[in-house]
Amino acid sequence: MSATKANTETNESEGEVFKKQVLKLAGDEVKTCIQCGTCSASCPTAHLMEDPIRKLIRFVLEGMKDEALESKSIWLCTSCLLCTVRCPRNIKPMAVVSALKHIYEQEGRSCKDSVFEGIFARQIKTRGRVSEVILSGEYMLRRPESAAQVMAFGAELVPKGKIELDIEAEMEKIEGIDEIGRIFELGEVEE
Amino acid sequence: MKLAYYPGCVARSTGKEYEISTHAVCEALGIELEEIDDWNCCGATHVSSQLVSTGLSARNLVRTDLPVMTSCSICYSRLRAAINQMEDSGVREKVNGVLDVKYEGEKEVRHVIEPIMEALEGAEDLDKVVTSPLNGLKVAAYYGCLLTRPGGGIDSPENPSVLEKLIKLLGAEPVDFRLKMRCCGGPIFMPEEDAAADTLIRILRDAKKSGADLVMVACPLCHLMLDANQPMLEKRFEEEIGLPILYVTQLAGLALGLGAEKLGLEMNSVSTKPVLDKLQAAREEEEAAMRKAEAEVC
Repeated sequence: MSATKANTETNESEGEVFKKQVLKLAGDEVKTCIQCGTCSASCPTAHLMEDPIRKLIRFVLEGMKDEALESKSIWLCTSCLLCTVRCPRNIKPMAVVSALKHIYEQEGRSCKDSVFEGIFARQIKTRGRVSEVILSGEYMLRRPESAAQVMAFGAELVPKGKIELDIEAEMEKIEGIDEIGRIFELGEVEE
Repeated sequence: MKLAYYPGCVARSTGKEYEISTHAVCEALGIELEEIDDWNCCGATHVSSQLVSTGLSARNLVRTDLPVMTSCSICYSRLRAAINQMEDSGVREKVNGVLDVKYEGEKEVRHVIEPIMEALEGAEDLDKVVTSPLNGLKVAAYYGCLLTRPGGGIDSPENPSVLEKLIKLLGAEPVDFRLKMRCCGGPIFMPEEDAAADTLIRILRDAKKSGADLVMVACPLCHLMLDANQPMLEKRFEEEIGLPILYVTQLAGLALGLGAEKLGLEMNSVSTKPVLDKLQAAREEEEAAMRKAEAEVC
């Protein structure tokens, strides 16, 4: 058996594992997708995507793991749920995108969008609630190029009294923080 | 009426005027709110694991026996999605496995618009409740995405009319607003600013073209994107927009005769003065007409 063939076989089985993972997270009905494109036609950011959501679902069903996980499209989904409201097969296309994000994060892959999602989730995990000042502050530190955007918002919101600069108060935890930790463990054992 | 109140994180920061006006309007309508003890963030659209997202909302839902009311469309959508998810016995078992208080029986979630509508529609004499009708005001009702999604909530996810109905009850006129359900792009705004800006400017241009005096919103993220962000969008696209963006509770409060200070109107980024001026002018015109009619009778 040639090395190329062996590789192909490994890839195939990795693709199969990946497909099963997504189906488990997003629902077995994803298999019934007829590629009608209703999801893509409904998507408010489809015009910005290289791979519209219909194609992402195809990638999943073909076991094309890297194509699906490394597609920029998964980070352009606004979670507006219109695809999910309209799918004639009762598939939840948005749940497919969430599953792809989840696998991406669990595998330790990283991009600016996953950095933001990570900071957001970590805040809930450590405090129980989200503080916008800590969220934007941390994002700015991790992505210095976002400074202009964050500062412009700050200049607008701080004088209105909408952003608290009392960091100590913003760091307070809810009482049930251990329970929140256990809820997050549900995601880790999911695979 | 007594409801459990779930503020959500944004009510305590960029959406403060939404919370202020929510309390003012509910008090005026006799809706008693009891804040859920030790509530947690719903995860919004940023938790990629559906099970974790469901668990976060379930923990909030089990903390009260009352129907849960929230003003945030994202929290509303997450809480409702969690109720749907918890119908699956496998999900319920896993989530209950980590919750201190177990999720049992049926839960109910309501958006603040619902009790407001009920109070107005159930009023014996609407004129006594809507003491300052918003005559002459043209309002673009912005639904955004999650107020009606997933389906099965406040109204149809494809063709809703609840906000237009509310606008009419308040004495104002809803305008035809084509992009009323186009997602604002808020959830991806931080890392994908260009994509969000592209969507936002279309929504604002369309609202402006509709002839509206203001846009009414029901979600703090939509508000942040259309209001606080509006001066930045004006700079970016080099065009003047100047469209006031009011929360549903701010507009309802004005019709109930509550003052601007009780509704946090000064906290909005885009000045709400043109709206207040137009209302004042309409009121003065009406009073003058009444005086004229009285004089003629005498």
